[in-house]
Amino acid sequence: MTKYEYLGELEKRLEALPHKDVCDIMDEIRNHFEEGIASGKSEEEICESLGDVGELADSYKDGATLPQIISRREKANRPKNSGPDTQGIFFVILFNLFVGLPAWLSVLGILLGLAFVLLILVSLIVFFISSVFMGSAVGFVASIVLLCITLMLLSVLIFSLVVLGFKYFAKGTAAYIKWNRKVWFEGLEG
Amino acid sequence: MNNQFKKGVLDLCVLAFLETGDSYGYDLADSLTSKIQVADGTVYPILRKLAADGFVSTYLKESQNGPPRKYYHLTQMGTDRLKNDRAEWKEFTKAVDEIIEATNRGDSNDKI
Repeated sequence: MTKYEYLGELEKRLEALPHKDVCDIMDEIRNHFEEGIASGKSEEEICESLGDVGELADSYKDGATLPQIISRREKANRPKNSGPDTQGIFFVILFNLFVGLPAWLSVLGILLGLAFVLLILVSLIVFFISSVFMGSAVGFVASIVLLCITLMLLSVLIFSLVVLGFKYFAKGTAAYIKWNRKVWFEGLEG
Repeated sequence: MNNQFKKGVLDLCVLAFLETGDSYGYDLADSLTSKIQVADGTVYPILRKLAADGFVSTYLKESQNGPPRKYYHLTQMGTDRLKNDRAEWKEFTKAVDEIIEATNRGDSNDKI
């Protein structure tokens, strides 16, 4: 097995872990190869001494899931009706008032602005095209066609921006609300 | 040696190595495998878990050749755990020794 094959196989088997963890782990094992090669070992020897790829990946996965299991267990053991956390509530209200809400509104504003620009572009295109068909712009047909194409490309671009924007905006809002709820009930440390 | 035996004590061994000074992954793997027959790779998930639990901290340090090395440093929490685990391990192995020696003697007595 070569270094490349070993690392590739390891990366494939670590897929279930968060991306950041995988990068970290890959860096560490890649460094192990480089140290080994620098001290005169062959790639084959290093692969052999590192041990079975599957076993290595499994022990990483054990280690990664353990803290998650522990925190889940702690959460389950926590008394359920302890009520909201006072500090948490205080933080959520202040944070939302000064940071969360203004940021949320400005993003919403930008997205709505973009959508409005899109609307104007589309109506301009409709206007130009209809002016060609109505025969009121006889002399400018070629330039109007060019203009329409440019405007269409621009509106396609803005349209995709708006769609993507709203998609992530919705996702972000959901995550933000979830986080707020967590802080509200469990405080900042939970 | 039985693999199940080894797994439980490797954490303790890694902590003990780090007590003598900060070290990086390759070096620790080398030290460990020169004494105990395990795969080099074993040490990395252990280090990662120890770091995640706060028993060791990490920092990068330039090496003369090649990329910077990730060094591991024993934290106060790690030192405490090492002290605790070491005492527990000694007590445990002493008890096991006594048990297996006693039965061993018993066996030989029976034979005589």
